Amino acid sequence: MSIFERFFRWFSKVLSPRKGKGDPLASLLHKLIAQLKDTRQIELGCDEVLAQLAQFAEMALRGEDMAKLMPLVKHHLDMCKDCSEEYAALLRILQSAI
Amino acid sequence: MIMTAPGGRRGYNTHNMPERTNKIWLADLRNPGPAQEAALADLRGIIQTGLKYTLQTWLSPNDPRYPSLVEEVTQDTLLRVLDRLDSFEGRSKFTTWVHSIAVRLALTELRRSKWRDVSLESLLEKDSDNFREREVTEPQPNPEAQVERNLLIEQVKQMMLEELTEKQRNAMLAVVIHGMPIEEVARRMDTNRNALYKLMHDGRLKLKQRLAREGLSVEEVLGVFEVM
Ligand SMILES: [Zn+2]
Repeated sequence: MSIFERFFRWFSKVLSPRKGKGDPLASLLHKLIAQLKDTRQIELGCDEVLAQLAQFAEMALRGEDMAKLMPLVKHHLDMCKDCSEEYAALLRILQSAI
Repeated sequence: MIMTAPGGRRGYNTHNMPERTNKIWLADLRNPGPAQEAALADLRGIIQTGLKYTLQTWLSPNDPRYPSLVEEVTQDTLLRVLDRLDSFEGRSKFTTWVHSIAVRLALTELRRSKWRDVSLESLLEKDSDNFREREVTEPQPNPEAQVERNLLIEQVKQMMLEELTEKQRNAMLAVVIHGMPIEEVARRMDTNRNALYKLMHDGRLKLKQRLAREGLSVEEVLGVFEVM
């Protein structure tokens, strides 16, 4: 590669607008590492959460402080999209009955 | 096949239904006979009313799949409830417990059909490339800071490769980066959702411990990656 070519490449890179998080690996690692912020030593699995979901939903609808009363279930619902979707659906059902 | 009540009531009307306590639900459902049949018919109506709200954000009632989905999920829920009566601990209303089972079955089915045509390989193709090779550093206004960032990226990438199994890494990428339901990733990895959640949790713990050993805090790493 000639010096001119090299310079031209460098120049066009510097001038080209960088899109948001320009580095795909960095943004990927960022998302993965972000998960560690809320990672706890002890977490429940999806089945343990399902077993307590009915109780959790009823108490939440009564306005109880669930982060305090059932912190492990609350934490799992914050971490797991599958379970939180199911929780949202269960709430819709219970709210419709009120 | 669990049939509807004698007389084949359709278009269920919950107002005519006797109020059952948890105890009565259990007693009625445990012993075959007219009481069980009536309880099952009532439960069928309750499940189907609930499914209307469950499916609300997922499937239009005009969708051709709607009726068969409702029927299948109702049937599966009734069977599962009968099978697991002993595991009901009485910490909620019996019917809320039944709804929680129906919801899980319904969403499992919906996720399956939504992601049916997506393979894990195609989803993760680009990510694997990212992990394999790295683009040459772009010249930046502040080359020194850039070099530092690149070193950190390389370091974190290395940690992911060393601390996580390929299965853990792929699961995390599919779930966190691509939003694939854990359930669907698990299906493709021949495991189940519960086990896969735990596997990913183990992975997160290992990474967190490794960061700590390297003297890096999560916030610090995030801060550096954010300015990119
Ligand atoms: Zn879960």
